[in-house]
This record gives sequence, C-alpha cells and structure tokens, in this order.
Amino acid sequence: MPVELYALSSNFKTVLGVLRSDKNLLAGALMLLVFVLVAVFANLIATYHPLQTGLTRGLHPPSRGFLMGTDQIGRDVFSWVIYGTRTALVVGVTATAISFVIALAVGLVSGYFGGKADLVLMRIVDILLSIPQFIFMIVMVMLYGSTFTNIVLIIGLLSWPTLARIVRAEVLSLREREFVLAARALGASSRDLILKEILPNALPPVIPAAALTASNAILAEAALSFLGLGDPRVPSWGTMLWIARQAIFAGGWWTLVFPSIFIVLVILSINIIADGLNNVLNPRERT
Amino acid sequence: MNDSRRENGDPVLSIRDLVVSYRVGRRRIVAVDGVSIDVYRNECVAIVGESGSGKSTLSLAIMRLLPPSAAIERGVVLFKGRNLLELSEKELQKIRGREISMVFQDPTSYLNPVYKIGDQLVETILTHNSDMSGNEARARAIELLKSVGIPSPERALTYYPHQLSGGMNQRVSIALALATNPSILIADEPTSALDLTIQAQILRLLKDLMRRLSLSIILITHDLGLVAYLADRVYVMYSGKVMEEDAVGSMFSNPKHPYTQLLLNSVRIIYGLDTSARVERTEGHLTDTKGCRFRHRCPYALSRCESQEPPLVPLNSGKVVRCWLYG
Amino acid sequence: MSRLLLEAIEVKKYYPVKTSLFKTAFVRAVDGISLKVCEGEVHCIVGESGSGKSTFGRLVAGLEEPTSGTLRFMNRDVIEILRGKNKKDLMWFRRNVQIVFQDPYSSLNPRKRIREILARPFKIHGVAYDESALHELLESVGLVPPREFLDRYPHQLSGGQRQRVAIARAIALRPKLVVLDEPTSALDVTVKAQILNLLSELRERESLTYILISHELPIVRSVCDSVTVMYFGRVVEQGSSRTVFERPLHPYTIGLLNSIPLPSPQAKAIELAVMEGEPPSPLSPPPGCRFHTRCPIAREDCKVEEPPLIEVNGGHLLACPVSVREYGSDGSEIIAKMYLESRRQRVP
Repeated sequence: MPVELYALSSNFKTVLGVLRSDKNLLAGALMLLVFVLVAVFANLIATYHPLQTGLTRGLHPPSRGFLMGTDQIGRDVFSWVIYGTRTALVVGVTATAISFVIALAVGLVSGYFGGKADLVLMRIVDILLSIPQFIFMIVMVMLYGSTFTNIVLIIGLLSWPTLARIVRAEVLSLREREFVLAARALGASSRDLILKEILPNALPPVIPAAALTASNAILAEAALSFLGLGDPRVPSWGTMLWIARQAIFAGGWWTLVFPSIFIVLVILSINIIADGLNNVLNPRERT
Repeated sequence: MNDSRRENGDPVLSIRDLVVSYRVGRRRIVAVDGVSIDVYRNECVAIVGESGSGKSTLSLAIMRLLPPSAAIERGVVLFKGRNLLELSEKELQKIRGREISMVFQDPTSYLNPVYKIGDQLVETILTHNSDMSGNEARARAIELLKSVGIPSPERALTYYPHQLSGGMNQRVSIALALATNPSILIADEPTSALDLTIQAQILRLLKDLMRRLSLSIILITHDLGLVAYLADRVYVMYSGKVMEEDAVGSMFSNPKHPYTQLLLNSVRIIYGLDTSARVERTEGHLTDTKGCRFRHRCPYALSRCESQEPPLVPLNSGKVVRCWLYG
Repeated sequence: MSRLLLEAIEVKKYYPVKTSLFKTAFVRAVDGISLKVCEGEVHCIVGESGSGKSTFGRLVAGLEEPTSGTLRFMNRDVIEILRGKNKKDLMWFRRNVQIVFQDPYSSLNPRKRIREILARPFKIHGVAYDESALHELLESVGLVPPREFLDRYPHQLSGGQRQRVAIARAIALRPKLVVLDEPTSALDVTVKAQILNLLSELRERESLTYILISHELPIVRSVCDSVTVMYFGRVVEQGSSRTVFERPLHPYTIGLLNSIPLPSPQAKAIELAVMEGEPPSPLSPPPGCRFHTRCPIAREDCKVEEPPLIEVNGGHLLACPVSVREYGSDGSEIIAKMYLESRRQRVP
C-alpha cells in the first residue's frame, strides 16, 4: 500500500477510534452530523425556496403542505429552517476559522517572544475583551452594513481574543518544557521551535475552546438577525425569530418554536462535542 | 520462621492474598496479584520494588485509599483481629490516621496549603481525642513538633506549608501521622523528594521514633540504601507479586531470587562496588500471565517457568522465595 | 593531560525577583563557578537542590547566558557565540555541545514519532542521513530491533527507553561535549544501572566528554574522573574523584558523603552523619561562608568573610580555611566524627 494511503487510512482509523473513546464526543458528533447532512442536502429536503413569498395568504399553521407553517408574508417556515442550517454552520465554521488563525498567530508570537510584542498584543486583547462584544458587533454591523460576509467577518474578528489568551498560556508553559529546550540545544531556529515543537502541543487545549467559539458565533449571528440586523437575503434562524415577534401576537407560535429548537439542538451538539473533545485531548486523572 | 518474630507475638497487621486491579479504558489491569504480608510489633518491614511492582497500590489498599477506578477483588487485611476490608467507612475513619497512619512522598503537596500547620495538627489531634481542650491539643502539637526535631515549634505552628522547606514539611507530616500514637506508620517513599542531607535527618528521625514509640513501620521504597538502614525484614515485589521475603541481613548477603539478584547487581553498579558487572537489558512487563512473571528477564529461566507459576516456598534459613530454582 | 575542552571562570547567573513594588532582589543561582574540563574525562558536578548545578549545566549548554564571567569552549568565547550574529559559529557550538535532561517523560516531543525526533539533529544541521543511519543510532543505545522503535511515539516507550532515545538524539552528530543533567534520577534502579553502563560504553566508543550533574552521590562516585562540589551557587571543593571522595576536606562534602545510606548487609551498624539545619533561603544567603549555619567547625570569621577557593594539594581545591588550618589532612575523619556524634539541634 503506498505510504500516503497508509497514512490516510491509519489516520481515519485513529479518528474513528477517538470518536468511539468518549461517549459525549460520539453523541455530539452524531447529532452534528445530522445537521451537516441537512445543510448539505438542503435543496433536496426543503419543499420550497426559502425566500419565496406568497405561498399562502399570511400566517398559516403547520399543515401537510407546510410542515412548520408559514409566516406573515407566506414564506414556508420549514424550508427556511432547513436552509437556515446551512447559514448557521457556515457562520460557525468560517467565523471560527478566522478567529482561530488570528488567535494562533497572536498567541504564539506573544507567548514565545514575550517582551514588547507580548505587551502590545495583550493590551489589544484586554481592550477588545473589555468592550461589550455584542454591542460592538451591533455597532459594526450598523456601520458597515448587514451583508452576510460582513457579519461573518465581524464575528470572527471579535472572537479571537479569548482564544488568543488560551493559546498564549499554553505556549508560555510549553516554552520551558524540556523537549523544546532540547530542540533549542540542537540548534533549531525560533521558527522551527514555534511551528514544529510548540504548535502541535498547544493545539489540544485550544480545540475545545474553538468548538465553543463556533457555538458562540452561531448564537451571535442568530442574535444579530433577531434584532433585524441580519442579511435579508440569507435564510437565518435568527431572522425567523425576528419575524416571530410580530407573528406571535397573531398566534403564529410555529415561527418561534421551530427555529428555536434548531438553534438549541445545534448549540447543544457543538457543546457536547467540545466537552468530549476536552476529555479526549486533555485527559485528567479520573478520581 | 525467625525466632525474633515469634517473640513479638502475633502480627499486628496481616495481609492475606490481596488482589487489587485498576480499570484502564476497557481493560482491567491487576496491580497487586495475591500478596501476603505480615507486620509484627516494633519492626520495620520494607516493601521493595520498582515502578509497576504494585507496592504503592498495596500501601493505599491497606487503608482503602485507592481511587475509584481501583477495585479490591480478593483478600483480607487483618489489623488487630479485624478485617479492614470489611469495615464500614465510618469504622475505617477511626483507624485511619489514628491507629494506622501514612506519610507520603511529597510532603508539601500532601499538606493542605491553605491551613497553618498548627491548625492541621490541632485538628487531627482533636478529631481523634474529642475530650481534649483546644489548649491541651495545642500543647500536644508543640510536643509533637519537638519530637520530630522542628526548631522553635511555637513559631512553626503559625507557618503555612509553603513557608517551610521540604524537609520540615516531611517532619510535620510525620508529626501529623504520629499525633495519635498509631501502631503502624506506612511510609511511601518518604524521602525520595528530599535532598540527601535532609534524607539523612529524616531517616535518623524515623529510626529514633521506632525505638522510642515501639512503632511498626511499613517502608515502601525502591531505594535499597533506605532498606539496609531502617528495615528488619524485606519483601521484594515484582509485577504485583512477592518474589522473595527475608530478614534484611540475609536478603543483602544471600539473595536467592533472580530479580533480587538483579536489583543488587544494579545497586553494585550504581554504587561502584563492582565495575565489571553488567545488567541485562530487557525491560517492560508481561501482558500474559501464564508462568513466572520474571521469566523474560531471567538468566536462569527453565522451560517450566514458561508454563507454571512458581509458588512461594519457605527455605530453611527463614527466607521465602518464589522460584522454580528452589523447588 | 589531554587538551582543555571547557573552561569556566567566575561564571555567575543571577535571576531578578521582585520582592516588592519597587525593590528587586536577585536569586544568585550560580555565584562564581570556575572549572576546567579536559577532553575525554567525566567531570561531575555534585550538589543538592539550590546548589545551582542544573543552572550551570544550562549555561554550559548555551541555553541561557551567564550574567557575568567567562565560558570558553575549545578556546572560543561561548557568550560571544551566543550573542553574535554569526550563524555558523552558533551552529558549530550547538553541534558540539549537547545536553540530556533529567526527565525522560518531558524531554521528547509527545507528538512526534521517534523517527522524527532522531532525524531532527540531522535536519537542523543539514547533515544527510538515511534509514540505516537511524537504525545504527538506535542500536548504539541498545534499542533493538531498531525497526520496532522508529515508528512509535514517546508515550509507548518506558522511561528507560525514552532516556536512551534522548541520549541517541544528543550523540547523533558526535558532539564533543555532552552535559547530562540528572540523567538517571527519574529512573528505576535496574534501569539506572543499564543507563550508566550505556553511558560508559558510549563514552569509550565515541570519545565523548561528559559533564555529569547529579545529586545521586553513589552514581557520581562510581562514574567520574573529577568532581566539583557545589553548595548554594559556589564551589566548595574540587579535584580528582579519588581525592575528593576518599579524603574530602570540606565539612559540607564530608557531611554529604557520610549521609548516604549504603545498601549493604552491615548498614544497620553504620550510623549516618546528620547535617543539622536547612539550606538558607536563596534570596538572602547568610553573610560570609554560606555553609556556616550548618557547619560543625564554623568559627567567627566564617560568618564574616566568604572563603576563597584555594589549591591545597595538586589539583585539589578547597573553600574552607578552617579545615586546612586546624585539621590538615586529618580533617576527613575528625569532621566526619563530629557529624556522627552530633545530636544537638541548631536553631535556624
């Protein structure tokens, strides 16, 4: 078997093994898998185009044609919620990716080099953390417009400070570990030390935090949309909740209940995964 | 059987056939596999072994201080006629710290960092002597600190553990352990975290205390120097089983089990007493349990050793060995 | 005597510690160490915790810069090499001076396979290597069959095996000097012996020079050619192994040597020397000789003046004028007796 395939198959087996080793991880992963599948096959599952209006005349409770009812302007809630899964997951992944990359860079530089760089970077982190994040997001969205891209960027750019602190803490403790000193004694350059010795060991504690960042990002986007600041061309669960504010008075509970259930379930699955990942990556003595 | 032992009467502590296992992932790993040990009054028994021998597990099992992942599967621990393994937690608490005490390896992390050592001492004294007044307990605490050689004990009472050195903290731990005049002190690697000169102080102290208080000490260690200095009798453990048991003098001068010989050979190399000695290189422990545990590293392994586990056999000299070489 | 490989002259390393908002005190980890190591010898540095021996080891290995003093390796100034911009010089130094750490559990990157760990030195210094070179390396430290070990991770190896890998990594490029910082103190007894055997075999085979740092006196005694005894950042006694271990003259060395419990059948009859008191606080060393608070022969001037390290015999250096002046060469026995008979408690 060629070397590359061998590595891949052994990695795959490792992933399966890892998933099986912790019940939380498995359960959460399965739950999330359902959502991922829903998002990927949204166009096959949904019954209508989510943005299409006028399918019914105003609010309509759940019925055979409209599994989750319709909203005031005749949009199918079911299709909206299904496509909303895509939105939520894209937000979660992209915003986290942005945060993660920035946090890694900042944390590694800050932790390893210390000195002035550390001082400056950590003050920036402090400042960002002392601003009420959500209000800041609202202001940013209002200033730069409610496009989906903007929202994802803004969320990503405001979520990195917490992660950066965690990375920095790990780097600080790893920096003095003996295998790093040994590599230094061998003559490895700083770049080598950071990327090859420190980074792979700094990741495990950060990954569960990153998972939580993802769930926070999804919540943030839902909240922004709930306030009416979401991108109107994008089917987001939060936007449906915004619509629900009016619909509730006319008895349209389905506009509130279904998106909420989905939000809760996705967040829950990610948090369970984060917990499971933490158990697997950072084993503690079971006492 | 040694005559001196008979003089001391029945053993104070008698462990019979103890089996302790740990749950690791989905498997069970047996750490102590059918160990029997006797401790008599006023003697020091050393349990010697390297990592993986099960000696620490054994010491924790005596007082049932094992973590939840461990299970005592079989065996009896008789202390003054009662089986400690059958006692309820409440009854056990009357014995722990009072009649059987324990001292651990790293004193600073085993003392509560947020309490002054005076408070910890007084609390222990009062817990086991509810009729004492606070002042009486304090006076006793000062006496105890003096008896373990802590200078200015009145001042020492007000210190927190991190304000004292490792050696001082170990003395405090010993004082705590002896606060209620126990019959047995279990010392698990009591000096391995300490400097040599401090170790000498603690060893002297333990020897003194043994004499003065007619205390029995169970010494768990891998350091044969400690064994030679303190112990009267020795049990050598390997892979969860006792391999050899003997009085300390003849254990050193006449080791019979190949593992004991390996240990002593290693010690000779380390202490430079025999520069030509070489030690075989294999390491690691076996996963299968048929036959003798030590056969993979044994230079005298017979074919019998592969399939049958040798039983413990007493020899004429009083030594007990688990090896097919001796019947 | 062969040529001088390493020379240290009054090397000091101080660490700043903030004691209050405006005041900074210094921990004098290494406070003026001088020594010479010749090619091919095993020079041991002995001391307890707080003596500064590990810090000194790191200074020699170029992992930290001395606060002051001179350090010369093969007649070149180490501090200049570490500070300078000349990469070639730095790489030359790194290639020729290696270090093995105490804890085999943390000196190997847990996320790398043994193969990658061993290939590192070659890669860093741009030396070509192939699979068989790695095999040879593993074989030379007794890890056979090498194939079995290359693909494993550190956590799949035992402590002794990890330490062998750490040693293999250190000698991969045939350094001239290897600093061994407590290489066996975290290992089991039988494994300790194996590693010691390995280290002496390697030394002969690869013509290595060792600086062995240890608090395990028995090992030091059996392994080294020359020894430096450190107490609290200073050298108290220095000389050939035979001189220092058989006729020590410094009260600290004497006390230390006599406090080792021997694993022999007659041990019960031998009383241990007990040194009273505790090592002083690192932030405020006592004035004068640092050992005077625990010393059985301390005199008035010991509390005032710090004793210089002077040569009392060919190659035997001592920092205790009292011992020489009052007891001469009988100091070993007389002072040892004082320890054995002492039962007084000293108030710190």
